[in-house]
Amino acid sequence: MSFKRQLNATTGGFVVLLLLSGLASANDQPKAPKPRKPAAETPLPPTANLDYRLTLTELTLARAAQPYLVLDFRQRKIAIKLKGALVLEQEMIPDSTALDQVEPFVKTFLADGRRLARPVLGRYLIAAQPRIADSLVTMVGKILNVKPELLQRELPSHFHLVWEGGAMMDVRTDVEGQPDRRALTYLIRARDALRHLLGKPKLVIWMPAENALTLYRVATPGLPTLVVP
Amino acid sequence: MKKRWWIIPAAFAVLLVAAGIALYNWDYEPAVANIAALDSIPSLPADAAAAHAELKRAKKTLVKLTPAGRYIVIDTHANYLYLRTPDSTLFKGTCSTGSGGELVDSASGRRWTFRTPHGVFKVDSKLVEPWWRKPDWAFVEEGEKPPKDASERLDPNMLGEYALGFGGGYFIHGTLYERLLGINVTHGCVRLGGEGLKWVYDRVPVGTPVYVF
Repeated sequence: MSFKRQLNATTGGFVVLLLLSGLASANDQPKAPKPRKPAAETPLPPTANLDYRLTLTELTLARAAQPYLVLDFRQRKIAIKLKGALVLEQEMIPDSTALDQVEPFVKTFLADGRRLARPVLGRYLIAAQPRIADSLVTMVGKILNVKPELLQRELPSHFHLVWEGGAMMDVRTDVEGQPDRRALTYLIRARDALRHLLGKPKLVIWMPAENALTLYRVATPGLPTLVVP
Repeated sequence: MKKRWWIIPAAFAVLLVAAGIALYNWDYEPAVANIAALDSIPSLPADAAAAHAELKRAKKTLVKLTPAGRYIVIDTHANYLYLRTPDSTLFKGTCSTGSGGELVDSASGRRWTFRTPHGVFKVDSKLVEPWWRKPDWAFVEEGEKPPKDASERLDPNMLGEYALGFGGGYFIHGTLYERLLGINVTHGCVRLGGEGLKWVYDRVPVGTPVYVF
């Protein structure tokens, strides 16, 4: 017998053995049960409807060109998203004196039960600090022929955001700033204190100044905000 | 004449209440968004099987919108460039973005606004030792006439060692003026320090999404 024939016979033998063993094991083992359709069997989690509405709301926001804000109270995070992608994320650190305001804030935000997102109505800078030395900004402005105020980014130390429905957020940083416009600041503080006194919730949170700068500048009136309760 | 002493305090009280109401309702920046469309967001279907399928479909659609791998984020407000994934930040560096300034060519009346465009883009080119082909505004800004000879527009030093194009003639590139990083001084491109630029360049393929906000 030539070597080639010997090789063919050996290979053929292996194939037959493999087939036989496969058949035997198939006969020995009980048939695995068909996977169940989870939809028919698994009960929906209690938050399913809310999750669904949150997802659809976010889909609507993510399809627009404008960024949107997510106040996620489940994960204690504040996020800025663009087209569904996370572009800035910050841990939500409520001030210890305002922890009781979290629930009323969410309730006010979701007051009528129809809408999970609301636009920012107003942002009010209470105090800020120049981020770059004025002398540098002036010099660069002259070279580039650009107004220095376009180059300067005020690092906010304290600002308020107000949403449709009256929910307020008081954002603070550890930067020490100067009052933006003193008279206006007093008016804003008086108004917000009055609103708070008459039942509008005010959530006080802390964040790093650099992230507060981005949040302040992004949160122009109209910025859609989604609340995840 | 009978003295009506109570009129003054009463008037004062009325004024105080009116001022309080005005203050309560006062907003100096009007709302501009119309997101009333969100009122019509439906609830899940009552049938459990259909509800499961619908919830799964909605979540899948949202996931499809978000980038799966690495993406670049440019924060034009605080002047930071990030390389990140949906779960983590791989790099954060100070950059410079568009100033928002305007330039008008008094001779032709042409006008330029130097903003970094906002939106979602993709890295469409990667260049080593890039040469800048100076556009017309670069000459107008210097008070010069744009040259007709294309070779006079080439500048081998301005863009640093690497450049990542993200469409419309905009690049993420290096700079000679690293001291100005963090300030909105550019004509729309994104400047990044040399070290950070190399790090990002080495880890970003063509096609990487770029989110500018």
